[in-house]
Amino acid sequence: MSWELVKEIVRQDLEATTPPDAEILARFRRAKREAPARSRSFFGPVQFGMAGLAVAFGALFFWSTNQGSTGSNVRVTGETWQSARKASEQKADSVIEIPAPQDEVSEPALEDAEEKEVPRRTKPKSVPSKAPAPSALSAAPRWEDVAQAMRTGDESRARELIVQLRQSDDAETRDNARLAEVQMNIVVRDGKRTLSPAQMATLQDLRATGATSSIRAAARRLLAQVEGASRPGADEVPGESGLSPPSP
Amino acid sequence: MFTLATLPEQAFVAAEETRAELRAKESELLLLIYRQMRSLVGPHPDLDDLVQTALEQVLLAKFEGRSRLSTFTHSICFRVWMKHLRSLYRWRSVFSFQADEEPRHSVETRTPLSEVEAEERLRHFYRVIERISPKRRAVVLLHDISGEDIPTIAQIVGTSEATVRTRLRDGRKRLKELLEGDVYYGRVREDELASKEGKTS
Repeated sequence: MSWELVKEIVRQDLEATTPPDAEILARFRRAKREAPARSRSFFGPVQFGMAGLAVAFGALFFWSTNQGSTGSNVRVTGETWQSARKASEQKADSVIEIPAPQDEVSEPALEDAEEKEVPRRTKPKSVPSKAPAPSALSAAPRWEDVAQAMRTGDESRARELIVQLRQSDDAETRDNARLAEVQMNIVVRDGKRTLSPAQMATLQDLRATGATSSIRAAARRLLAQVEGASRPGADEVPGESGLSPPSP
Repeated sequence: MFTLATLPEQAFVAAEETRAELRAKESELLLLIYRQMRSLVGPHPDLDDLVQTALEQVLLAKFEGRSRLSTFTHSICFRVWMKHLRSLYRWRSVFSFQADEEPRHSVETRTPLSEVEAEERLRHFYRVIERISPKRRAVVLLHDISGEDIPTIAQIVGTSEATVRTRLRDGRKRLKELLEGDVYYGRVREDELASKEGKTS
């Protein structure tokens, strides 16, 4: 076979079957015009469906790889949040119980919970004078130590802890510590509701610029009591502000 | 008058000016690339896409005038085609599918039987030559069909002239084996022999 002849035939065929220039140009111009339409039709329903499926699979994969002890073994029960917290403090191998929504929790259960958690969830009006300020909840461990020291009568330890709390970065904790220090001074000093000028200034400062409204209110009440006690014939209402001195 | 045929080698110096000129002559460039790509791939269904891709690359590329513009465009056509072949092989290795043999834009305005036959014969030739390795195939097509010389082919495919000669020799040898007893070109051989015998007698 002559390759020369074959390639000549191929050349001729190529030349013969090549479309005219005008046809080629028209075809490419048409393709150029249709290009935007094709790009618009790319995101058709099928493509969107496939994209949605891909996202769903991705989410499923992410969930399956990230589920830990808090995802797979959680069982919602009707327990109160206290039991849930206690359970969460246990080892992770046990099943964690999460409380039901609040409206499903019975009223007595909530009351019981509050009774059990009084030392931690103390509110200012219902707390005896030895308890720290209300917003001390935020610094729970250290305030607990203060309360414990005061309960055991270790005054120096309590003062030491309060001094530490007074140096806290948190303004609320700091103001609470200042307030507690003033309260301790009132309570400890032989039953007399007297304050030094510096402590009076501290109270006045707290009344004006306390970090929270409860601190300002407590400082205001304390000031009123101290000023009332300094007046002849004035008497305090026990238990109102939680600042009554301990009985001898 | 600026035409690609009369384009001197040092016509394009500044790249930006070159690009602007190429854009201005886009139609002329398109026709050149179309012919070059068609000689490489034949009446392939993806011919138009390949031409479009090559044209875009030519317009975006930086032609420095170190070779003829046709060599430059031919090398881009070659690279686009090779890339297409690679992706096609990868696709075929994963999926088994029957390629659409008919060109997407079939000849509509030309209906004579001779042209239909020519197209069919051409398609058959490219089917046969597809069985040769792409590198050898490219050299054979560039040399024997497109009519490029060895140094130009070496520039286009990016190898030495010796390699081009080797590929050309091996490609021709393999093609000869493939066309041996071929339905189309075997008959051509018979016709050729018959015509030669007629001349001698």
